[in-house]
Amino acid sequence: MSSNEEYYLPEPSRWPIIASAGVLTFLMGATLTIHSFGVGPLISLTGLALLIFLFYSWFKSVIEESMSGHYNEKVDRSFRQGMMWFILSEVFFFVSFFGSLFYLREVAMDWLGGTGYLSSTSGLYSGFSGVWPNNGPGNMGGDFTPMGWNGIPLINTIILLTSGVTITFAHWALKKENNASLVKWMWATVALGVLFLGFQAYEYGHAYSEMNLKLTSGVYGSTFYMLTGFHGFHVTLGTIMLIIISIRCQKGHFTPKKHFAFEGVAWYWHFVDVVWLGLFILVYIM
Amino acid sequence: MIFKILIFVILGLILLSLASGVFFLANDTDDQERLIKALTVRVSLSILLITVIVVGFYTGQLKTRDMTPRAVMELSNSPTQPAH
Repeated sequence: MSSNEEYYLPEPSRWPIIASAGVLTFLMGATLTIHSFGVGPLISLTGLALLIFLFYSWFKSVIEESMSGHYNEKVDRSFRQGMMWFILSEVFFFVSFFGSLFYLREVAMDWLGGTGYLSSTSGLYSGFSGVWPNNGPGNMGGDFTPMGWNGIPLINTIILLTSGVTITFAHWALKKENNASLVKWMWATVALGVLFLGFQAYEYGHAYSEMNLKLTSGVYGSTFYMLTGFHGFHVTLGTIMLIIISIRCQKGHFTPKKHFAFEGVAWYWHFVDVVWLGLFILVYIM
Repeated sequence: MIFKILIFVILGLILLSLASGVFFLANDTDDQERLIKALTVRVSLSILLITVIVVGFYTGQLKTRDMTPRAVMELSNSPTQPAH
């Protein structure tokens, strides 16, 4: 890295404050909606519109800065560090949820059921048996059918895994400077991401209407929806990121020597895929 | 049991290849190929993992935990009351 190269500092930006206002408006509307205030959905939609406008405009500014050559080697280095810390926060986010599932299922369940070194606390919950899946003491969560591994979960695993293959093909195409192939594989990855989300929405609908498996179905239902729901949220974000990167690929923004944005999103997509593998094994199978 | 061990070993290797990808993403420049190679290894291992899982189930070597909901279990077995 040449030491006399200056670090690019953009002009003071209005986007961070607009982002805060958008999130505040959206969540305020959501809260009012939950509490049945008629104006809630309107406020929420206004916040969402503000956020869509914000992301479009902010991405546009950043892409323009990138294409005008402002992002030198020093800026590139800072982007890589930023991405690494973002990734680390995401890893800890999911580790905490997987950890809570492990703790509830393998540790706390035994104690509450009357075995293990904290078994004395089970006196507080008479009639509770420490089995998994669990719907709480006294059948509080109601009767439900747990989610099996084959069927839609297996199909979704294959879909997401295939998307991992297609984005790898796209990545190699970019490295080999084959833009037509890059664009084709990128859109294939986007399509698979959308398909995954469609199947997951169907799975949730089926679970709620046919299996009586709900967020309120005891600790099993809560952990199931918390883990798969947050994963689905990440797939949604990943798909939006992939769409933006695919458009940029189509416009020829990336070269084999300059494509950090592509690699950041590609890694994120691989991460989302690996989290799903963990979910598939630990939530659906074991 | 061998299938379960195999699954966790492959999952561990997948995590390792993904983690090495982060390292390369943070430290390499765009003209290097260590990141894409790590991610290619990650995808290949994932295909192997799903193959092992499916083969394990269809050969009967791999079984899911008993997923009978608690309410149904209570009807068939009366719960053991803990000693106080």
